[in-house]
Amino acid sequence: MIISLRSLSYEELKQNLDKDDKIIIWSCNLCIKYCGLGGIEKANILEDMLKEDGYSIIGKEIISESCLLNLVRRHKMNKEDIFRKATAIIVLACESGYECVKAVFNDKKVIKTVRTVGVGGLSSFGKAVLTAPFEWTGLNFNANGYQLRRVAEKLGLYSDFFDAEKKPKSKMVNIIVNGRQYKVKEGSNLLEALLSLGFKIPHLCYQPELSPAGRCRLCLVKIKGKKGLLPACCTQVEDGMEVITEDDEINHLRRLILEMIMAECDWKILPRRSELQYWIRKYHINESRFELSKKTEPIDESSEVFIRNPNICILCGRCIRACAELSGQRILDFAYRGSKTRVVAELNKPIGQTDCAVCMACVDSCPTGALAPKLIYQKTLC
Amino acid sequence: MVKRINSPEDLEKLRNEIIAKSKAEKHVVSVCMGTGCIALGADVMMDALEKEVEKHGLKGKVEIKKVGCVGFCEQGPIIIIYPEEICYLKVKPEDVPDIVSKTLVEGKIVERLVYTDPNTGEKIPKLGEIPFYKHQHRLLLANNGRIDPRSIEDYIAVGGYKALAKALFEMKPEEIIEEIKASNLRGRGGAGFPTGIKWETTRNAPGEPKYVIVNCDEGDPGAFMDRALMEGNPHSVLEGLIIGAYAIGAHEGFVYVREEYPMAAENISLAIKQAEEYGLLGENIMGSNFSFKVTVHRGAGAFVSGESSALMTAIEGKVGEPRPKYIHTAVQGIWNKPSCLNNVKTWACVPLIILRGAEWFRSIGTKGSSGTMIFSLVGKVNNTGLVEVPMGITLRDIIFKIGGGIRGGKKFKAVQTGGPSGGFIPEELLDTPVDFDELRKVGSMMGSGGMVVMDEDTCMVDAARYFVDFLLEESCGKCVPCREGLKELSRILNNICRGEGKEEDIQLIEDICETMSEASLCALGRTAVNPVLTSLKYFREEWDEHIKDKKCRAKVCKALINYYIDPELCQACTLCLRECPVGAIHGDKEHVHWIDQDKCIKCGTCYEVCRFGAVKKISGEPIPPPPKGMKPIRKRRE
Ligand SMILES: Cc1cc2nc3c(=O)[nH]c(=O)nc-3n(C[C@H](O)[C@H](O)[C@H](O)COP(=O)(O)O)c2cc1C
Ligand code: SF4
Ligand code: SF4
Ligand code: SF4
Ligand code: SF4
Ligand code: FES
Ligand code: FES
Repeated sequence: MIISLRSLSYEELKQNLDKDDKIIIWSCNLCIKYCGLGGIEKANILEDMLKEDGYSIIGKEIISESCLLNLVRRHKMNKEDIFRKATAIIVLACESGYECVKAVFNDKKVIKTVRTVGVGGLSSFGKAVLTAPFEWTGLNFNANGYQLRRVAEKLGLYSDFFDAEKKPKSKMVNIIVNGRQYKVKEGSNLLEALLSLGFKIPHLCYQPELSPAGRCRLCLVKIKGKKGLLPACCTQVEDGMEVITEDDEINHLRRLILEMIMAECDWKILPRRSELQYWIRKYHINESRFELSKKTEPIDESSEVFIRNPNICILCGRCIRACAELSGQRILDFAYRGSKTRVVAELNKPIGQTDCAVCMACVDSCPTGALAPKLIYQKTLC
Repeated sequence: MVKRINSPEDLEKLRNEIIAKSKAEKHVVSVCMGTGCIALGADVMMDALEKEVEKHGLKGKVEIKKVGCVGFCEQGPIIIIYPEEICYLKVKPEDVPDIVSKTLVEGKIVERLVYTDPNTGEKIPKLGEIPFYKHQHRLLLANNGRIDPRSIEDYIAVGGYKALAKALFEMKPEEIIEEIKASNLRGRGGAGFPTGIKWETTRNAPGEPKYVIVNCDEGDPGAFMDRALMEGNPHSVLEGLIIGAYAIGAHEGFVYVREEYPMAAENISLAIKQAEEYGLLGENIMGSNFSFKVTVHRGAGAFVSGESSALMTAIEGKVGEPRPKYIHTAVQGIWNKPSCLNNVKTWACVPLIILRGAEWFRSIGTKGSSGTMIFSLVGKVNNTGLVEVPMGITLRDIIFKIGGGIRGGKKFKAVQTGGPSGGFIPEELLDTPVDFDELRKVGSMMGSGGMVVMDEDTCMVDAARYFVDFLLEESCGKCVPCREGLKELSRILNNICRGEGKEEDIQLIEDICETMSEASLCALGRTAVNPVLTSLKYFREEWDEHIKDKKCRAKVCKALINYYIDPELCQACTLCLRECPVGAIHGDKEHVHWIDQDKCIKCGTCYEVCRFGAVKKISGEPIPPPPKGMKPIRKRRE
């Protein structure tokens, strides 16, 4: 993993911008996210801060990896009309990612926000650390890893995001969850809001970076005044909304849906750490009463870096959306209909024979391990 | 080149001209050219008719009209002779000379071609007096049979586009919406959503352009009311659409027609072209400053693509699957623009309401459901076909008065309303009025108007299985409850029909149904459980018999029946023995026949061929042992 530190203060960032700039915030969904300086969440924060200061943000673009030049080109092509309007792009990506973005958008103001300091990994606490610093940093190799805060102090950089300097005052609204009142950001995604308040809502097809699809139906909640149950992942919070996240009926339904999902894949062989296993344990389900659909499709090992095991796929569609929205490649898609639905790569080719950019966006998003890296350490060590 | 209509006065003038011209003709012979009648040979008969009329020198005195489906398809090919309204059924080319020489020349009736009441034997020549038609209330279908759907002049002659003139020149868009709201018109596509409210939502939704769409996907197997309207009176749908577009503020519309309906697509396309030529569509309609254009979109018809969001994604050129719509498609539909989708019949109601007023429309039907509804009545009734009835009529009246009761004197068992995901309604609820809310209360729905009648020979477990299997094929597979639920239901129900049901299956079925109806993404999954739930609710004994006694009382489930030859009735004719494909039957000319149950594959051939009714189907009872030794036959004396 590439380790970067923030090189611009918020004030310096603003000095690079004009009030009439049409701004796009661009971020990778990989290294920079683990460094705490990018990803959809940070992009949202930066958007709020800049909007509050009167700048015009016309879009946010999350990409799996900006350091793959062809993916950057692909994103430009896929969203041509919005990029045509843009005059400035703020890049939340490592320096080589920045170079690619700059090369592709050479007619625009492309703003770099970080300095890349070396290669690192995740510590046992899940925090990014620097193990192999670049020479100019004057630091030696350190197998245990330097804490980023220390490196930043030493090099005069920032290890935290822009909001450390000034908290954005986003507009909050009141919602009532299970009888208690909470304040959440206006217009935010209900599932996101509930999760951040600490409610454990099961969800398998939702991922913050991706457009919601409402496929798995696990996040169903009750909302006062609305008929039936609604998937929180496809609902926006509204002022005064009254939500019930859990009652006997909802839990009963969630258990049944989980049982159905378990019948869809050979769940016993799933990695324990997979999201699906987590929810199965959480809802204390030991067995599915439904018959396991015996899928005996061949495992696709044609890619150099990941395998695809359709037999444990639950058709959540995250990989498909990740491939379309984060990589921009659209390699993966659904094929067939109804209970015969499957995920295929480019009209059913082995994935190794497609234009797959090996960006791993699909692998990172898979909640069951149906897409899994061939080398476990591939992602963390780089 | 036709003359453009530039004002309501132009339209009236044209109407009078057309009427004056047609007065000269004495007889109008309407020949049904609906898909059903053509399949039965209407086109060949039509050719014969044209030649015969010419031969008698009647050209100019008799007008032959090719009309759209008149609803009694099973009795096709059908001819209706106006002004007497004589209706001839099952007309073959060889009947044509009689029709021309007797009826058209001499004014007499050809008795053998008229409707005969199966109960009284009475001959009924007049269309409106045939029981099938007598109890109907035809508003939308009124002109099917009277006008040539491919002639805009015919439509104008019967008052067509008058409502459009009124809407454009005498009413403000808001007034039209108020009128539709006041009429209480509810969507005929299934859900019964108030049309006026939907229009208002789209009108007030932010965003331009706005779109209006006709849903002619009609995926229900056996349903053809939308097709009949589109084929038989396309201008009425188009006129409704134009009025709606004006009220909503749309300048572009789509007609979504399923692939399997080539004639519907052709007729509506032609109607659009004609309306454009007359200035009733396109720029500055009828000289007003309202402009509107319509495109026909042919869809590859999966059942689910009739669902509103799926249909709109299909029009956008993507795979037609439902999407979560927490913002209603009326607000964000095609290309995320406000889009108002209505069923064919809903649009066709609009001109009637505008012309005759909301109050008149409300006077037909019930408080909650006004107007009429078209059903396609099929199954085990004597008269099948398209029936248009006022809302509020009881199911009993439709089945027994219009449908003429159960075929072959059998006993009624259930009626399914609302298409493949409608519930089964039993005998004791036959007095339920046809009404959106009442049907929902008994576990079924109005749907888009399918009505399947089942008699005592229908197994209600098997019927539920059949529809689950149908919907399993139609589910788009997007959401878990529907995709997995239907798969599991299908597995369990097939097991039960195979005699492998377990008692705990019922609980499992109920759990699946609950999940599907509460948690599915679109209405397909949410309503797919209706057949199963109503079958369980009203016909529970049959389920218990299947599971516990391994008995199918209707003797439908193959695994649960056996064939057996009654030794008292067998005449040793050897017919069954010769026909049995697996040689399971023993016997000879002198001896009673018997079936080797181990060999029998239950194909039913022996049952079909035996002329003495000696072969019996039995279920849930012990099979009498084969006769000991060979039992000599006691021939019956004739
Ligand atoms: C699975 C499914 C299939 C449907 N098929 C049709 C159809 O074939 N024709 C139709 O008019 N509406 C169909 N609908 C209803 C439409 O979604 C929509 O409600 C309707 O076209 C709206 O028109 P209305 O307000 O005039 O009823 C279907 C709905 C579902 C869930
Ligand atoms: S298939 Fe996966 S790794 Fe390949 S381009 Fe798409 S998201 Fe990236
Ligand atoms: S492979 Fe994984 S991410 Fe893709 S649909 Fe299957 S379970 Fe979901
Ligand atoms: S309910 Fe069925 S048809 Fe509707 S979205 Fe879900 S899977 Fe598709
Ligand atoms: S049901 Fe078929 S296989 Fe069985 S005895 Fe009759 S004809 Fe033979
Ligand atoms: S997470 Fe909301 S439906 Fe899957
Ligand atoms: S097609 Fe002729 S009556 Fe229906």
